[in-house]
Amino acid sequence: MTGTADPEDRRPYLRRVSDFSAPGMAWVGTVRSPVSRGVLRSISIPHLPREYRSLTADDIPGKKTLQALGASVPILASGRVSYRGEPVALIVGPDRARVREAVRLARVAVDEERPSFPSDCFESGRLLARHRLDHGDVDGAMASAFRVVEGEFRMSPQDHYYPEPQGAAAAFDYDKMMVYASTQWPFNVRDEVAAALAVKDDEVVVQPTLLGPHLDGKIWYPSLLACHAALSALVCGRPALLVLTREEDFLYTTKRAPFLGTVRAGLDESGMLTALDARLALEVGAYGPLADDLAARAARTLGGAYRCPNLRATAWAVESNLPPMGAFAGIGTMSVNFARERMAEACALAMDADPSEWRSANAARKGDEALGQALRKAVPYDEIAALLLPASDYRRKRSAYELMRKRRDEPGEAPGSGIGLAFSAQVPAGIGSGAGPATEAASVEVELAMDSTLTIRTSSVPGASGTALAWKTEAAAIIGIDPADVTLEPVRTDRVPNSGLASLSRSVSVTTRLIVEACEGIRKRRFREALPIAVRKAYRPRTRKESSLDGASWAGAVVELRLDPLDGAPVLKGAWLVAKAGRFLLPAKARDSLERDVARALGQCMTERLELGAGPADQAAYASYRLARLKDAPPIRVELLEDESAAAPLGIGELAYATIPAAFANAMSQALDRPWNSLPGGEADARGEENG
Amino acid sequence: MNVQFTLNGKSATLSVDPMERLSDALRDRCGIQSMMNDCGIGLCGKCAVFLDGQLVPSCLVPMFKVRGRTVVTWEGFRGTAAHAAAAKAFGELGVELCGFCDAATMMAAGSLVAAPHEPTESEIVETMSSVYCRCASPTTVLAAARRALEAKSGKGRSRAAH
Repeated sequence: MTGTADPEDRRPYLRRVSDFSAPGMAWVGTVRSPVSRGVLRSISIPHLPREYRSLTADDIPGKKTLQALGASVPILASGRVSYRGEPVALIVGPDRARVREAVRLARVAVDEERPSFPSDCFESGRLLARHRLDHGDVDGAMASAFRVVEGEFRMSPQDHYYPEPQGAAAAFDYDKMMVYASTQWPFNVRDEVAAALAVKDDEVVVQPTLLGPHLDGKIWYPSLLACHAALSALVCGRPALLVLTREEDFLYTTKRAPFLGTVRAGLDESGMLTALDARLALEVGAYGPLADDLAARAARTLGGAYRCPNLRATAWAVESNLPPMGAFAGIGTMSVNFARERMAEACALAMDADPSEWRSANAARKGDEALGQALRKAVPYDEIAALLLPASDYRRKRSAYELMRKRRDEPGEAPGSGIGLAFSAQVPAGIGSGAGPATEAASVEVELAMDSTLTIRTSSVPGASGTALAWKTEAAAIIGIDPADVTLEPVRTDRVPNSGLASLSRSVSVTTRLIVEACEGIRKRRFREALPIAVRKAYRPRTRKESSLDGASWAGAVVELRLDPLDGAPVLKGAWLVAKAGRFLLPAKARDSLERDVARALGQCMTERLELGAGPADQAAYASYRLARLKDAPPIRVELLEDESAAAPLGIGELAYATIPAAFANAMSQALDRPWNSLPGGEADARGEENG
Repeated sequence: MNVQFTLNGKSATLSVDPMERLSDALRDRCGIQSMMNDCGIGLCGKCAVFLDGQLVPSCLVPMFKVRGRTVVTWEGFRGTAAHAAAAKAFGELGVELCGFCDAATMMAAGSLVAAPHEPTESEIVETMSSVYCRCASPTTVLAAARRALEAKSGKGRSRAAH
């Protein structure tokens, strides 16, 4: 829907959850645990009028837990509670205000136990997943290294702040339960609701509503709320709507998992990386959905673009009594990319080398081993740097700022200006990315009708309409028809095939490839067979052994900033990003989308502070959580590096998040002349305390 | 209490708690669906309405303050020339909004177009920054707002020429 600026002229089929209304509709409110850990003693609900009901776990007719990417999460807690705000009961009734009042008056008695919150050390009992990559002789290489560089890196949790808080609605449509949910994964919603209601999968139909920029915050959690809404609709026999307030969403739903990593790098006399040794811990909150994926991706991301003959990465996913943490754009990779690119800068500094030259020298070449396999092509650092460095005037500015840093009169004062560089990849789905069976099940169906119109059926729900437009454009070009004759079937689980974890940027690349393959299949059969012709394509993980970096998209970023002389706060002067991601079907859309991501990523570096070390977020944290505004964004320039040899477009949704945080921190480190190793980092950090 | 006010050009009377938020009343009682009732603390700007011609986040306005005043939501604003200029500019630049912030963004841009004076660059940036959403690139949103204003000044010049 390019250029649409009319709220009514927008995918009316996929309306917002909060717009749901139906005759006799009931509102659903959630009664929550008041403490972070303990044994549930009693739930006391105030006297409710006749049309109101309260529901507990005992009212669930089917499975009482949902399967959330390796974790078993209670739909309504019974027996024990594991985080503050955990749903223990529902109150359902026709008047929203009365439901809210009843929730407020409900009392939950818990025998409280000592909770665990994120800390620098953890007990083995809290360990949910562990992944280790080990090749070469790391200890030997470290012992013989000319120089060893060390760093400790932190990334705080972060709220997705998607445009609509989590919610779901449910209503009977004759013999089916219709569920409306703002979800990236409609088939998971269907399966979990069916299991909770003890009905067959095809008796539940899920229609996703508008998603908007979700930053992977709507993967499994909508399934939980959909179970609540569907249970309410079933028990009360009327349509039910559950929409969290923004405050509830902030306090009780998933955030980016807090990260703590320690990394050591061994260098030889020429500055070449000989060894990397890292311990990476991700706090995944209660129950730990995605624990295994997060740990796997973290471990595999460490080496990144660099040739490293000896590498040891151990990643842990650790449980705590915070609300379940989880994915953020990149699913566990964002934090590790940050740590690695900070280390790259530190290595260059230790060898008194230009950071770009250090990266260029250490970037993996064709035949180098990366993630256990030999690379079929070199990492495109030099190609990207050839565009990025002149565009940002990186070398000149960095030299000038280095001169300021080294020759300042008062060593106690910060130099005040800095420019930082970072380089990273976005690895495609399936190929060793730890994406698991959900993505591997991806399939699409494309049908050319007798009137030469084409219909694409997929459960992929693109967060940006540019993706849908790109699919239509590509499909039309392959078949040789007008893009206006291509229709994307509105997503409903009874009408489209399962495309797995639908809106992940990495999955969207898979979907795009399947659409291209299906259209090529139709083109070959078009004038040989009678219409209609339908082709279905499913993703199969490659059996051929190859490095996931060979199919990756790449980006380099530069951030320039200065420190305000009065309050020490960072003031952004500019940001540049160059991306190489296969063929760009709609370059203007891709550029726009990357520019938006750069602005968001910068905002997250600067202002979105959320500390959960002492316990879950409270109302004060919600009120003080500052979002970056349009006016906070510096001038941003995005360049695209076309790859004509690529068979299809690749994902770009994670590139800014993989590079901008490290580029920002590298600029801060130069501006302050001290390592800046934790994010977000705002005014307070810049003024005084050590960061990292 | 009963609160009588003008909503999108028509008289409206609601029986409400005096402290009820205008945003809640508009969405839940008046069926206004263009605006989002989101953060509730004046942060996101997605519940923007014109209150006596001034763009305000309606979640910060208690209903007792609305008595006798004029409220215009996107539904009432969409028929105006200011809205048309803003929508045209956003459309021409291909600004892709997410479906949640569209109404507030259009009203913010439209408020600049409808302003009696020529907004300064700082006013443009501040006004467009009053709506928070992660969905669009800052550069294109600001460019669209500026283009809408160019159309306005063009119109002004053409009027002056006549």
